[in-house]
Amino acid sequence: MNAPGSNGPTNGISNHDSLTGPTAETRTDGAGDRGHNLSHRDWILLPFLGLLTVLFIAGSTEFLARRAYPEHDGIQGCIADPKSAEAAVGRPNSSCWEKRAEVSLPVEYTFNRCGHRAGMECGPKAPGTYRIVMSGSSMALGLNVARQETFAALLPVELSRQTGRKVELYNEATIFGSPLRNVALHFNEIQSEDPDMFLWVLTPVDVSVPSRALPEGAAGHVAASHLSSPGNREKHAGFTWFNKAPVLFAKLLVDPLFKLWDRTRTGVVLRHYLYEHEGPDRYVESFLAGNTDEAGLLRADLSTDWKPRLHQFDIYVADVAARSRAAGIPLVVVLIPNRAQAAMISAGEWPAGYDPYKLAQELRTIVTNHGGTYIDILPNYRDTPNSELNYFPVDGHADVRGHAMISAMIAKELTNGSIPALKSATTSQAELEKQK
Amino acid sequence: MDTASFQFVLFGLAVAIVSNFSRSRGWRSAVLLLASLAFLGFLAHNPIVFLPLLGFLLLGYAGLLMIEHGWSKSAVWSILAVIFVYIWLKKYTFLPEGIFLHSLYFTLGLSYIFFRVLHLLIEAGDNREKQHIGVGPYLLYTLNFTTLVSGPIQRYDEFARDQFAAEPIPLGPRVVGLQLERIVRGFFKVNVLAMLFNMVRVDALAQLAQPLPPSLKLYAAFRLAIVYPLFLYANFSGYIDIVIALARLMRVRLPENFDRPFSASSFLDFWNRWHITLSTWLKTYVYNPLLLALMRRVSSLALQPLLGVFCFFVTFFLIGVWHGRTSEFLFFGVLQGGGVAINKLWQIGLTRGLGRKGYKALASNPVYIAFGRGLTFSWFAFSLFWLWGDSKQIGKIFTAIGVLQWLGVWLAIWFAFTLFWFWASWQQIDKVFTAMSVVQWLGVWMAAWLCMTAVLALWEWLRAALLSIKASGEPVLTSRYARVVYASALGLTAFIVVVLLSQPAPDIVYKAF
Repeated sequence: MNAPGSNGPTNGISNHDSLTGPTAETRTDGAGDRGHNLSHRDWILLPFLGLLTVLFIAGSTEFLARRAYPEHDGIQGCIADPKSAEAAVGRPNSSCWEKRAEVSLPVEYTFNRCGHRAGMECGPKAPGTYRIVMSGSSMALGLNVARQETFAALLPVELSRQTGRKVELYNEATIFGSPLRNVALHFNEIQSEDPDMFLWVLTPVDVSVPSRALPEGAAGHVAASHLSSPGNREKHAGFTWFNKAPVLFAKLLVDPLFKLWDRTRTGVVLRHYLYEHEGPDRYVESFLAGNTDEAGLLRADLSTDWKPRLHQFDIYVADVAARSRAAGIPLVVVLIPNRAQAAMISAGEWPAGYDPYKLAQELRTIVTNHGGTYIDILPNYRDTPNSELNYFPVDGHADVRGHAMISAMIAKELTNGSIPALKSATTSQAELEKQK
Repeated sequence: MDTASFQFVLFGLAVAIVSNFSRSRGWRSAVLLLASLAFLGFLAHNPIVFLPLLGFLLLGYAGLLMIEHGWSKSAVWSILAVIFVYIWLKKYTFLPEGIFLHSLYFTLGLSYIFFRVLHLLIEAGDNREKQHIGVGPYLLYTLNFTTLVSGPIQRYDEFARDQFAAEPIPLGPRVVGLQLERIVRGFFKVNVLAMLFNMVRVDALAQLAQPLPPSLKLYAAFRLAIVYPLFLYANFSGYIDIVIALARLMRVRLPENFDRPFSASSFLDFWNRWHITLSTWLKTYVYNPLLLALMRRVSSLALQPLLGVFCFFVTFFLIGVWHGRTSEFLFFGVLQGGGVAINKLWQIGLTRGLGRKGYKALASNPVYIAFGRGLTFSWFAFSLFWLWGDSKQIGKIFTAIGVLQWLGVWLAIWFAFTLFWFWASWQQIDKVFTAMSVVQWLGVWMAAWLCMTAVLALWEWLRAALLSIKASGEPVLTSRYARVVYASALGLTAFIVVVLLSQPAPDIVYKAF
């Protein structure tokens, strides 16, 4: 060993700890020796080499990712007008296949003559049947999951078993367009299915996507163009010339970069494996750091960005609840948490300043204020360890296990007495008393 | 402005650029002082929290002035006062709770400032030719933002030589290129490698606590045992890479803090390669004076090697204790000091048994070296001792040493084991060890030892093979072209992980000490 008291390599000249250790090259770090200048050739060659390395790595990994995790966009072919904000319904009697990178097998989407992925034809219900008409967005539609494994298919079976009566569920969920506006637009179709209950399935994203148009007669409440969205956050208080520069920088460079990254298969594959293997606390930490907009709805104190969105939701619920009441159809609303929210609730801990239950509390208040019923499945996630594993890590939709879990949770909440017609045959009087 | 973040690197690069606007020492010093104060301002916004740190610095400077003015007796008192105030500000748990300050105050980097202030006081007390250090240079030296948070611990004369040089050290394009490559490498280590190793550790720790089949538990324990040294190395050495390169861009050469520590073939050698500036500081200011003092009192030649062993124990015990305020670190200190001391006993025993030539021959045996490397990673390797030598050698070794020396073998492989005390509380340690039986843990440590012996030997072989590929007499791997290629690859990976995947890296572990 070195003599005690020796100073060791203290001159800072060598680059000892490199992969390559001290070498002639690293020793040129010292003063006054050769090699301080680069040749003209190197001034061009070295940056070119760096650029070439980056391009080669990026290109080859993307190529490999696309080969190993192919995608086939097929569902758009089944949607009448995917870009339409007015009527994003399925083409009548259409069928198509889609394969996402995270999903191992292609999934079939079949739409009935009314353009719904309902697993049955539209039209009057059979006598003696309790019919639930469900609406919502991609989660309710069962994106990435075979129809027979979606909670839309599992829930009526479970409800029939628990209540002892024949329950069927007609799924009118749609994708594309504005999730809240879709429900308002298609309420007449919901009504025409002669439902005993209208189940409105929400996800945080549904509430977060602002609609440019409001239900008829609601325009006076709020101007939709003033609603907050990720793109116009800067319109809120505190925007001065001083913070224009970072916003412009973000708009010009960062946002396009993230959009490009989101489109790469490399990005999907890397995030898939990362999210799948990291612990819930770490996943939540990175989610909150990277998804500033979606993270906003998990805050204990909902940011100013979110208040206009909740106000918009309030307007839609008012409209849908009034029409439900007029038609004599009970309105039931349920929120399915996103993956980070599920991780927080399952783990039972979350970073300071956040509250995974906050959004549900706000929605419950709005729904009940308008005479609807809100069923809260979030507490059930507490009893499901690592419930975030039941979601596709990047895509964010529930997977097959997730749909089974959601079905069980909704069935539990619907049959606990909150909906008298669906009260479980096994629910004791004592339990009902307790719930009251 | 967290350590080893993009912001920190950009801040450092901006300061380096501004610093190079002029070569005058006044300009460079002014830029460094302003940058260091700004750095502190980024870390804490309320000036009140800096008052205890300011008091500590004033105490150190007052001691320095007194010694400079010929009050040599004040040196000891100044040193004792600085040590006490440091312990008090760091709230070491052996002091009564009631005497601590209960308001929030800034202690980040205090440990490293403490070493620098003590170094100045000791050197001022020892030097016959008194050298005046002004307030400006004192603040520059103690608050230098490149060394504030986690070192390296630089000597004042080395700092002054570069910082206050009339003609600063040259900074050509090649040097700049090398430093940029080093920053990228350091950033990659901290933000990608350390993050991945930490994920493995957290995952393994969680699996140990779960009701899993024994095979999965063993695998988790194995990962837990080997991954923490790798994590700590990537975390700390990556940060040091960044600050050394930033300082070099400001024309200051900081001392190296790591020298391929996992290539060390013994625990003693390991501490010559790991956190070099800390062990050097303690060898200079604890080991040497203590050994000299003991040798003056003990005249027996037979006992003198044992005095060295004792001094090693004290020195490395203090290294362990310095790492934290709680009883875990006291035990960590015992393990570090014990490990080094008994490793030294082992060397003495072997030298006596085999003779100098015999020991030298053994120590240069590649198999011995390879297994020695593996031993630093494992704990129960002792039982497989006979595998790495021929029967003659083994026989010699077994007959050459006694029971105490055998204990040295155990302590020479202490490193990976002692790291449990480094990152865990007693409660966590208890959980980890009760997750499996003693026999299972034996198996884990044996597997860790074997695995790391093979992996490190393979790494050394691969490194030597790669470096042997030469063009124009120099290894191809260290050419500027190869460096540009791998720096670009590492930079791209780090960018993807940190920015696009939003993966926050674990904090620099040594920042907390």
